[in-house]
Amino acid sequence: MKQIVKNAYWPQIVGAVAWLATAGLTYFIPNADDFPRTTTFAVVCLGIAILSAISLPLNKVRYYGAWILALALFIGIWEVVQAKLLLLPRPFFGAPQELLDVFITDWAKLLNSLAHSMMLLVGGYLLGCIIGFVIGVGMGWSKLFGYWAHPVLRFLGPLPPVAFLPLLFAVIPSSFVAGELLMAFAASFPVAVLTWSGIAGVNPSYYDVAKTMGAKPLFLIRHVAIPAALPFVFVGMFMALGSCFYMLVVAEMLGVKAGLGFYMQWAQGWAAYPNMYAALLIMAVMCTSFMTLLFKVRNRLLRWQKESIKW
Amino acid sequence: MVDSLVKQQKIEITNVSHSYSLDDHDLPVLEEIDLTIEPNEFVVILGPSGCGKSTLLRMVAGLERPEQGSIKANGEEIIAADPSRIVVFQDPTLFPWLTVRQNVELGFKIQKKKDDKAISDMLEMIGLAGFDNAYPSQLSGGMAQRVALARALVNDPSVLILDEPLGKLDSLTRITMQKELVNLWRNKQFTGLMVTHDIEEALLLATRIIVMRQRPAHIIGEFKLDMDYPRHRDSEELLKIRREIFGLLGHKSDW
Ligand SMILES: Nc1ncnc2c1ncn2[C@@H]1O[C@H](COP(=O)(O)OP(=O)(O)OP(=O)(O)O)[C@@H](O)[C@H]1O
Ligand SMILES: [Mg+2]
Repeated sequence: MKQIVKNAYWPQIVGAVAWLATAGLTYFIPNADDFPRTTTFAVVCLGIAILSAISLPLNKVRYYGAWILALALFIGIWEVVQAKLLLLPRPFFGAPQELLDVFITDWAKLLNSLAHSMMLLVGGYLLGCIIGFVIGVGMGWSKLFGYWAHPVLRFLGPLPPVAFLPLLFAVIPSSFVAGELLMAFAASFPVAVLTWSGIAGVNPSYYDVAKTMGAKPLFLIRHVAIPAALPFVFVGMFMALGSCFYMLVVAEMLGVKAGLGFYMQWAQGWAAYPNMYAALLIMAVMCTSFMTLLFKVRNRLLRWQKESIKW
Repeated sequence: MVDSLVKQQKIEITNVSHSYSLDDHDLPVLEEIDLTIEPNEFVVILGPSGCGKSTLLRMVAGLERPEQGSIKANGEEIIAADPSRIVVFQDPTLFPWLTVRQNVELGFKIQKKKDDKAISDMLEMIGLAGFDNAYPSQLSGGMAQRVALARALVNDPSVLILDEPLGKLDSLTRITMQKELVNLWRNKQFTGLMVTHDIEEALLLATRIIVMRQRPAHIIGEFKLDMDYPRHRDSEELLKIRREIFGLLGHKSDW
């Protein structure tokens, strides 16, 4: 039986009070400079305070009580330091309401940038994973394939994909396609290497077992080699996702004229730092969501493994 | 290729020698093995650890070819593995990504057959009904060994090759499984070829016991056992053979 831990009430109660206090000080203490959306921000804080209060009976939410409190303190202190006392230099540091203002006024553009980034990321990543997987299986399985693929992989694989960037953007007219290729390249190397080592490391007795029951090579690849190598494939896919995030930002800052990276570049040009923070926030949410999704898929496919970490 | 529908197989091992290379030097493993196994025999091989028993079994299964000599089934050279000769390996080697049921079903999946009842009956027989959906990582060593046995038996092989299949079982389960093996063998009419470390087990199961010497393996003794089943481990006849085998294996005073 699973043991249910009852989470304490007080952190969330104090948290709700802290959000209420943040709302109050935002609204009642006058701003040190001209900041937009101060009242709206106070209302948002009030809303969070009310939500925290009414979700108090939920054991699951109470687990995060301390986080609710910590965030309230963080936002409250930030509000006082920047909006009320103006202790940090503008425009590099914004106030919380400025960030809110960006989301309210510029949401369409942000959403559009997010969509572009996701398209570039998902397309390039999936393409790279498929290519890497096929190369890895080929190298693990066929000597002839390995003869040709191994030196190429050794020669080109360790090259940082960024090195291709100037060339690709010059040669390929569509910067989107160039970005996709770059991303695919970044993803394919780790997936290929790990798939290959996974397949090479399959316990040979597994093949013997299947062979004595009449299995042909196709069955051995599909139902023995690949499932046995899958844990390795996923390690490769995690590494690939990380390097795709990296490539995404670089590509969007240096060539692709859309997406969150481009938006940030643009924000910097206009010294619109709150916009940059907003884009950063969205990017963090996007990256962590993709990671979470990949972990979910992995845990589903590898549920036979005894030990698996939680993301 | 031997037709898998041929129920009876006569295995002829003639003058088989084999060596592996280990660290640049030759390691002779089998030396001039001659052994004929008639259909429906239950032959048990005894010999010191590392002498080459598993190697010989792999060759009969068609997983490896001998350097010298020939191994034939019904007069045809064994050149590849065939589902008519199924092996239960020394390690259970269950596929960790398949459930117990899917593991037992492996042979059917390969041969594109479907028979849910046969699988259920088999799981019942090995005492693992209710563990259908467990993964191998959730089984004990003995349970895994039993699943491996079931995975082989459902295929209804004409030759069942057993490499210490009961090695990991506790002594009580072992006795049960030995009885089950005898029953299965008598009902299903397969030819049994088994390796074990346990002289007692050999005496209870075999119609013929083959004793091998330390590497390179060579047959140094052969005993025909024509007593009825179930046998009693303290019967005079068995004790006599047991003493002789101990002697052959160099433990004359240890029995
Ligand atoms: N693939 C291989 N390459 C090199 N040497 C091998 C190989 N397989 C087996 N050997 C060697 O052959 C010898 C016999 O091995 P085998 O597995 O047949 O022994 P065994 O009689 O089954 O031993 P045990 O009773 O301990 O299982 C051993 O000394 C082993 O080191
Ligand atoms: Mg062995």
